[in-house]
Amino acid sequence: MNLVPFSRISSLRSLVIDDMPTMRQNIRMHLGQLGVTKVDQAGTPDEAIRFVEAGAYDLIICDYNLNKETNGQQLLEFFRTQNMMSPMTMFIMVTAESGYNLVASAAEFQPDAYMLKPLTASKIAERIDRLLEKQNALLPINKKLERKDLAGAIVECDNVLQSAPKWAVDILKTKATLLIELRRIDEARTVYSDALAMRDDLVWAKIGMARCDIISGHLDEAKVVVQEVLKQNAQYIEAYDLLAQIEEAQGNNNEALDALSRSSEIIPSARRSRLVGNAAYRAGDLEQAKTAFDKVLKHTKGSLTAQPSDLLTMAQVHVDTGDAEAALTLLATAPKRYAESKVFNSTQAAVSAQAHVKMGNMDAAAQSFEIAKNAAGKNPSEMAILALAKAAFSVGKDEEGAQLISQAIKADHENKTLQTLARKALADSGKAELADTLVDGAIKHCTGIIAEANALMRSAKPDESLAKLEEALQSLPENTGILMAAAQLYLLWMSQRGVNADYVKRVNGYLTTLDRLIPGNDRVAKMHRFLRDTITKAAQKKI
Amino acid sequence: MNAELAAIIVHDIKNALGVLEGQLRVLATDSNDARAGQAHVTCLTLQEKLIGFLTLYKASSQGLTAHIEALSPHDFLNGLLHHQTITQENLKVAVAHEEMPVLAFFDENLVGLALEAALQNATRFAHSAIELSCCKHGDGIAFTVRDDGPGIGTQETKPSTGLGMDLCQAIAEAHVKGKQHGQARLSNHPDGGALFELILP
Repeated sequence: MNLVPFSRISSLRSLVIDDMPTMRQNIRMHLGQLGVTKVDQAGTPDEAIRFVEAGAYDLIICDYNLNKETNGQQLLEFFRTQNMMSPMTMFIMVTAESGYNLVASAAEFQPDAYMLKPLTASKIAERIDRLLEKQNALLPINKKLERKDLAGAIVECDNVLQSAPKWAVDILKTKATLLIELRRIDEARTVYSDALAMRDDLVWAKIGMARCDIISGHLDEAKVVVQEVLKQNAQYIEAYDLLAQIEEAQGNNNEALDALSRSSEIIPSARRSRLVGNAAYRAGDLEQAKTAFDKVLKHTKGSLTAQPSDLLTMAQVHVDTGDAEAALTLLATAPKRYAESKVFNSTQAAVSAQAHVKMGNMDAAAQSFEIAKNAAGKNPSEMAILALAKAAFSVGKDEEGAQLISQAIKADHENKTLQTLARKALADSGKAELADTLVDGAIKHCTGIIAEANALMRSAKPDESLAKLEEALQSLPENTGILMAAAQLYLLWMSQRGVNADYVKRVNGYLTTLDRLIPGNDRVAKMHRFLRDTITKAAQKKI
Repeated sequence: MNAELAAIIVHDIKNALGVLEGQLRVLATDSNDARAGQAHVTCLTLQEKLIGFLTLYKASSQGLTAHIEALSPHDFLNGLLHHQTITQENLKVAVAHEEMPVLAFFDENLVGLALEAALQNATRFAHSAIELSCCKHGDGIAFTVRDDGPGIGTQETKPSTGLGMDLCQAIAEAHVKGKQHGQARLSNHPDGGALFELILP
């Protein structure tokens, strides 16, 4: 971990983001007074994105007002959601007193600090000092987290709570989140109630309690808490997400969509509109999906924050609503850099194929379909493969379409959203009657493989069992269910027969893939820990 | 001229002042002339006044909401003192650490503005010492600024405390917890001098 030594402000690599050159110069001068020599300057969000992509920064000072399309808060959101910033980077948001309350109270992604204009060198120094002190205090926790040792991090939380009680709120927040990740729900509840005993209106603690309720299956109780929070604090974005999650779990798709829409009214960001658009599309509300994605596209137009998937989904929505021409026109506006993406190329061609069919250009459709197939490659992404399946059905290649749907589900048979989208793709293509056979059939296929592997393991045929899963992973490398089963069985094998260097490498590989596919999953976290324990024990035995 | 336009203009001036402040700071550091330092302090005070005015304007036009965070009052007050420039020689400004809670919940930017205004006011009357503190007050906290001056009621107080107290009151009221909200008050300390209190739920 790259930690800047405490109070060594002068060694900070920093970036100043402000649209006004005089203000940038001013902040640069303040930093210069503190001895900071490495100061990059960005005048636009895109410039800032290029800088952050190219280099690592310890400190980013960003003005809230940047340009019409993107403000500092949305830029921070982009950095965080795209994982572009190290967790150790200090992000300071600078606001004017007129906008401060608005900005700070409705922020989904919190910067490390808000500072009011005008900044002075001594104010900046004081704030950075404090942030560095906090980083230093919480370092033992973060070190464990970096090694994915969640249980160890929880122990460190208790230690740091004793040694540095002034960071109690940050520590309790982290501790409770970790306990939830490890599904130690009762302990998490205790932490939240400790926090509420410190101050009874801490919204994050109330929301945490609701999260515990959801995991324990008490959806109605959770809903009451969340609605109570929203009654008192309509700005608290996380509460809307939780409400949407509860409603969706209770099968109330419209209510879930409504909760997300309300949140996007409070923060009209591209990300919020995208959430609404995707939920609307899944719920089959094409008009709302169109409105939402229209906002996303307007918001990110011509900027590096634009995402290929937004353009593609919007084009698909156009095709679904029968406006094939609009779909093709829209696809033609794609920025050049999108063409570097395999997913984009294949999905674009697949959506074009569907559009051409609607317009009666069967030759063009067939041609696009071939392009889409070639671009998709061996293991196409979820988005590409579903668009490809729809394209196949629309050009009359039903068998190929069915095969693609089945392939899509097999790629990740435990993914519920994918199942919904696959069923929707079939229904849109007039093949609703195939849904049960294809979707359920594919799920059964995968659960069958796992069951067989488990049975082989139980009947003391571990090598056959592992071979079975390895074979399945050849064609389904990103199937989370199979990856988990494989990791688990290798761990079981090693706990019985001792550590095998090759198997350790494999398990590590599976867990890394799982971390990417389903970040923060508690089963994966447990397996990380188990693997570490196994290795430690083996090492001790040797000595 | 309408209030909104006035606020925009003040805002512009404030940004320009920010630039001037930076330039004066460099000048004050690089030059041996004491007047450069004085000019820098004058500029800082002017900035504070403008922000106070803008915050008050915002409170009256849209209302203020506090962004409450858990903070160490110790760090906060030391930081406040650190970037406070006191021009009067022989004036001792200190933080009293007795009975200070480890953690308190408040909006540091807003409370910073209020205490800076109170501190500015205190420096005008204090003889030799000003004391800043924070202690528990019911379920909440109270920040205090106490000077050893003649106390309130002296004819001088009127001209500038008005705006300062209005600002402090607006900031106190922006701190809401359930049905309680904050309060700012100025009184005479039983042992002499003026006592400013910012009581937050």
